Amino acid sequence: MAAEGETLRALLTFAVGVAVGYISQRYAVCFISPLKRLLLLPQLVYYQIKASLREFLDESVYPGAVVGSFAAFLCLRALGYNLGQPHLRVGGVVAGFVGAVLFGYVSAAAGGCPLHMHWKAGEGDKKAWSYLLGFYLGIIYFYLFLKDLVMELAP
Amino acid sequence: MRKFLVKALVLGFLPSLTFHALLEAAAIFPQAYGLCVICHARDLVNYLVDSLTQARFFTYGPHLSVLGIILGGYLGARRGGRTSPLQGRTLDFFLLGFLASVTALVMGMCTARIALLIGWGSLEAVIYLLGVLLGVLLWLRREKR
Repeated sequence: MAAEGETLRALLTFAVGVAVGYISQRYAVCFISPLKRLLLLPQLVYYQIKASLREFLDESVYPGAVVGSFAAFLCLRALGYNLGQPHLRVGGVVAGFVGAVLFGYVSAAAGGCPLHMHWKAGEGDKKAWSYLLGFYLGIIYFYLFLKDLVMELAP
Repeated sequence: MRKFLVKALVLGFLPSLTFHALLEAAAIFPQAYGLCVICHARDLVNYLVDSLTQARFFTYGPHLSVLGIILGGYLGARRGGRTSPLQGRTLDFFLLGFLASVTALVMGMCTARIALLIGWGSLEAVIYLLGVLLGVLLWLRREKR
């Protein structure tokens, strides 16, 4: 019953997801552990950059993703897509900031970002699967009970 | 340098470009929507809920990238072995997953999309990254005690 565009999009996102999951597993990609390391031992990160920038770039995650995304942005611009930034609304940003602080706390407690937990579940880690069960139940819970409240606080 | 380039290609370049250029959907979707675990999980779950019930949850369509990431992790583990297992109680992980998805939905993105959005020059993502840093700092403070 799905429209043709939806089928294509589902297949494409699945293919991209396999590539992302494979590379993430091989290189142990996590978006929270670098932040943890940076906050725990800032001087160590500084000396690592000073000793060998190349090695630091190989180990880190954020620079790679940001550079790749920027390249994609430039390509899309060259292809002629209109990529204007949306206007920020104060209520939304404040609510999002509170969510971000809580998300950082919870993810640091769990020891990984959602991407980390997904490829960990693919490895067969039971604890990661239990995290995923809570994750998907949380989505349904949010849309059943919390969506209206959040929308009221931050229109 | 090879690892850096592979990460840039797979984590940043490929998702953004395929999602926004090949699908000709740059106008419909929000910024840098190519790789965002919580958004795509939300889309998939809400699509299923909408199909099965009359709930009319918000969705952008069936995005299967979360299933792809799980399959990719399996293939990678078959090829090159597992990484170190997680430490902690199973029930704690269930609760943490629940809280993580709720807070990420309040934020509207997960950390993967924050990285992509910073590449696109978004101020919002920088603010949220500072928020995540603050949250990690609070947890480390509590853990040290």
